[in-house]
Amino acid sequence: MGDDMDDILNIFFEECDELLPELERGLGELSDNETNPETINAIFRAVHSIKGGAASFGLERLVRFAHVYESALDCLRSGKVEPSADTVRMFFLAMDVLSDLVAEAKQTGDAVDDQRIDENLKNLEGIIQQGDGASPAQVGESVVPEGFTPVAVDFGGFGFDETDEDGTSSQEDDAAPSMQRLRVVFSPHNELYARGDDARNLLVGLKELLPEECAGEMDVTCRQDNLPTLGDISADDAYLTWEVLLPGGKGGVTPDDVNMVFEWVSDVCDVTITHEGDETVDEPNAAHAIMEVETQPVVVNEEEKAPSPLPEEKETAPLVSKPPRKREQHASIRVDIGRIGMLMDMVGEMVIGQASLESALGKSGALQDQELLKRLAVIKSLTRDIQGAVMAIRAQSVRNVFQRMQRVVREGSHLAGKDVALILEGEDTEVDRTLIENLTDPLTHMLRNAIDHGIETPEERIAAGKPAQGTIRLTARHRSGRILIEIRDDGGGINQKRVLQTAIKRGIVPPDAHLSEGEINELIFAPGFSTAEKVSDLSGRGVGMDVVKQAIHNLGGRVSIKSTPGKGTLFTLSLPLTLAVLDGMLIECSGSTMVVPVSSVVELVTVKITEDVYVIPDGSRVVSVRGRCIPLIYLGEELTLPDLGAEDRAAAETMGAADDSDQLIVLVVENEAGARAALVVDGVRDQTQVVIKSIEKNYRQIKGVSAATILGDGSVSLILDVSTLIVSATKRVDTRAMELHAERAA
Amino acid sequence: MPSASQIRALIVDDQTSIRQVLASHMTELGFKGIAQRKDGKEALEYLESNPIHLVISDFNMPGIDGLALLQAVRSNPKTAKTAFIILTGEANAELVQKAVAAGVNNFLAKPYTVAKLKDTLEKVFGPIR
Repeated sequence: MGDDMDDILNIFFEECDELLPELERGLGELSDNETNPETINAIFRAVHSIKGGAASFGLERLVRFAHVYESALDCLRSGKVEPSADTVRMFFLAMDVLSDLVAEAKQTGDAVDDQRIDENLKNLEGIIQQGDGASPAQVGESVVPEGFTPVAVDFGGFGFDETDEDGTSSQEDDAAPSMQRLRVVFSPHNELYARGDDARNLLVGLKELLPEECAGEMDVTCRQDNLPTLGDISADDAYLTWEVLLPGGKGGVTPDDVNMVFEWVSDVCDVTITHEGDETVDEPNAAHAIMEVETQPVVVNEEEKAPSPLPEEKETAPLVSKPPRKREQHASIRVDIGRIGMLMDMVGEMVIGQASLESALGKSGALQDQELLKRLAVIKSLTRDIQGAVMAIRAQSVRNVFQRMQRVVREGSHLAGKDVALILEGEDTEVDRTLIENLTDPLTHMLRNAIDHGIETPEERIAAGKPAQGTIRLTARHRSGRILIEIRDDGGGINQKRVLQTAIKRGIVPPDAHLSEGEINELIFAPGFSTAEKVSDLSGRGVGMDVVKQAIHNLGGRVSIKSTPGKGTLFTLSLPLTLAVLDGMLIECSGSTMVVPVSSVVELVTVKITEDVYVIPDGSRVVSVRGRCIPLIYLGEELTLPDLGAEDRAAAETMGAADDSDQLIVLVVENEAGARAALVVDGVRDQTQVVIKSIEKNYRQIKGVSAATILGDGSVSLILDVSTLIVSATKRVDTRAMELHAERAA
Repeated sequence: MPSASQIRALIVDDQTSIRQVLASHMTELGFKGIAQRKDGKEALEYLESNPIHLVISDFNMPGIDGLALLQAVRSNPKTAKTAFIILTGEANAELVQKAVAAGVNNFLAKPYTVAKLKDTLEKVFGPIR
């Protein structure tokens, strides 16, 4: 297969990526008893298209399976088979096989087990048997009915007239006396071309006037006597005049017919219509009479005239100066994802480059120059826009992932013996492609969890005065530079007592632990935690919610829980829009510059150690900010940064406002769950966009640090994982003690 | 007899890969400037302003399908004589009969080889140079 075919093969695989979700969506609707013909046809078409494409590329295994699948679906389409629950389930299973066969062909998946294929084929053949009792036609079996004779075309109607090899038209002197011919002479003005029209259209229009029996009986001569020598040709001017002889008289073309053709261009084209005997019949543009000078005629072959385009060079009216005729409208183009990734990387480098330029200019003192500053600001804003635009290219709606969840819920509730409806909201919300790819597994797990542990059995629900059918709402929306995905069930809520008991039993928390409601809820994310009394098929696969949390964390996101006993549970995933860039606040601490994501910063305040900071009995410190006590984190200690000497500290302090040793600069930060902590920093240096560079890829995971970045001056700086810092600080600080101090402070 | 490069062809299929494979095979046979449209509606719009000798259309497409397109092409005097080949992988006798009744010139069954494509075209146009 050549490169060309390889490219097309990739297009086919991309189509499969669109067709398979379509198939799934259709089957989903089918299982919800929505059996409208359009749905069934869409299902059929998806499989049909996959088969057709696969056949073009010789993907035998895929074709064979798709063919039988298609035949089974045809029985459904023709109404020979009912979409019973069993049938639909078989179609779903077959869809999985089909999807795996596509992956196999794509070489992104393992070879599909033959036995599995055979089992599914048997299922499908069973459906076909049930439908019309026949086995499907063999792949590639002729669809053409016996006795069908292909119909050869009548070239006459086409414009390939029987032209001799030397190019002279055989009808040249056919004009019978009774068919006095019409001579149409027309000269388009520059404006005709400027309007996007073309002499060719007029010729085609004239050709179409020909009655069937006279098809091809049109002589066209191009008069080029007005054509200047090459050096004098102006690209924007029209020079040519066309003379067309058409069969006239009875059964032929009438001057009125011709006028119709020129009606649209009468203001930009001179036309004279005469009978061949030179008698003037009509002269719509008398003002622009044409000099009828006979010159050496250029005979244009009929077949070249129309419908094939006339060679534009002959008219010397260049293509560029003319507005395009009918521009092809394309709604979208396909671009290799690797190219966009490259673009994204380069934009990242550009952000760094721009910051480094700014930093260098600042050092040289050039930034005093207002003009320079203004220009720099323009580049800065452009960089930001480009970044946004590239991100928009990578963005995809969450629709496909969300749609896939319908099936997860359908199968999950079936297995759990529960009745659960999934409502999708905000499926059009767009997110970076990488995020979408990595969302499926966590969402699947969380939904299974909600079905298993959240939604009650129908009996329990009725007893609790709720409708027997449980509802899970899966919502996506944008909020302040992040995407929020909510999974809200109307089940029984988290049983706090049981969760706490389990956690104690598993040794996750000490037996005497005093935990807030929020903290108890958080326990379900603890590694090794599982409250399911029996390991069910669904969520009990040895992976707990801790895996979900880790997966979301790896995407730069957070999970938070809100639960109301008896009313239900709400899981909120908060994810960054992109994995590449974030707005960061550059802070100084123990001589290091670090980055705090601006999205998690609440405020920056200075507090007095003697007045606002309290040491609570367990030795940890809290600070009162606006009447609220929050854990205080000495960032240097927390990250075990080397303590600075008094000298360095003094130097660091001059950077910020802390000129008084009694004062602390604290950065109040917040995680998605609303938990806050105060980071003690030496100063704040700047706020800037930073490009996220993975630290795990290059080194290993560091507690309290989510990633690294390169600053404008070329130095490497760490991006703080605010959420982890807050969680570890809140764990240390006993909640009750904090409340106690809050009272005292008030 | 026309040479392949003289025949202006329009390929109609909702699948880009199918269109491109067909276009690539036709280019091999000497066709030039093959137009492609993704459904019956777009095809009709294209035919409105572009004279075409040959339409090769898929059968099963969303909206205006291959059969409806054929009927529309035949009922418009401007395009009534256009050669129409239906590309199909479906062994659906009923649709095939309807297409024959509507005046289809020939069928091209998927999957096809270049030789089969050539044969199908020659049945309609005569030997293609």
